[in-house]
Amino acid sequence: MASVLRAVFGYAFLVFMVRVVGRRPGKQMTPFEFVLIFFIGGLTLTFVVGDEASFTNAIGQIMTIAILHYLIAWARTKSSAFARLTDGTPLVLLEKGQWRPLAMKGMRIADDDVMASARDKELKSFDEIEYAILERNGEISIIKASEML
Amino acid sequence: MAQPIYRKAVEDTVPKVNNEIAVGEDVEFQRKWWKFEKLVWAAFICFVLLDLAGVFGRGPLSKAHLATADGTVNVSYERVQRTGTPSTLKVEFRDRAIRNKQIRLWAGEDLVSKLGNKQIAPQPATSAVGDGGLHYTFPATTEPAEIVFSLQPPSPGLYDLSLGVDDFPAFHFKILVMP
Repeated sequence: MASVLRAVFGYAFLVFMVRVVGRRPGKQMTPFEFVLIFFIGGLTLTFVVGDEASFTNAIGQIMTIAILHYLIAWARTKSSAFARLTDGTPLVLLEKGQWRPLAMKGMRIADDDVMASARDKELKSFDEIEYAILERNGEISIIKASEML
Repeated sequence: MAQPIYRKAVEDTVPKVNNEIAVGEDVEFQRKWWKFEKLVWAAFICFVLLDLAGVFGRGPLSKAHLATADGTVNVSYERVQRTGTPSTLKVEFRDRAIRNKQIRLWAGEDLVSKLGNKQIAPQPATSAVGDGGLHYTFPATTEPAEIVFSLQPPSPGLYDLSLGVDDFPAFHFKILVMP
């Protein structure tokens, strides 16, 4: 019972922490962000597992987290408000040659992060970008100026 | 017979930016979230500062000290402890507390059952159950003599602990065990 509750709390706590810490995992993950994700995950394990290193405990906790994950994924499809809470909303970072400084500052994203994504699309400078959008999964989508013609 | 494949017409449900690209941006929600984030970061900083100070145990504010009026018996312990984390409770004896090179100490049962007393140094010469706790006798050849109880609380809670030494008023105090 206690181990299942610890798993529930650990999962909810990790989801909340990752949500608050920022939306830059995935393709944009830098080495220091790797450290963050693994360190937070490792520390959470210490209290979730505790001294109950049994097979039964591990299976019970894994299934608890699987059910929670399923429920959250299901709730996201049913409620856009819940989806915004768990994943955030896409944000336009650059729009027709104009930065959106509040979005950049708020999401702790630098212009070279946008340029890195632009280079991925074989663009050489900012003026070739029509839109740069920070997606909910942390990736930056680039819409080329030429694509909008 | 095979079931017909259910189909639904695609609707333009994702709001567009500049009426040309469907992004689904919700700037108003994001502004509220950033305000919430600021509060969360402030709460994180407060939590860490309180943690460093020892409000949640293992810091200066968690350390406590009790003594008899004449300073003959001194008790040092952590008033806030953490589940599964080792800590010590030290009792120091001087003068009149040592009789015939012996110390007689009574400890409430929470010391073992709730606070997880694992070890006593030095080992008591005798120990007996009684009066809702344990009676210990320790040999004491030098002064001051110190007895150290190694604790490792198994579960969180607020526990009452009592310690008594012959001819001295008993100590009654509370220990909070954090999850």
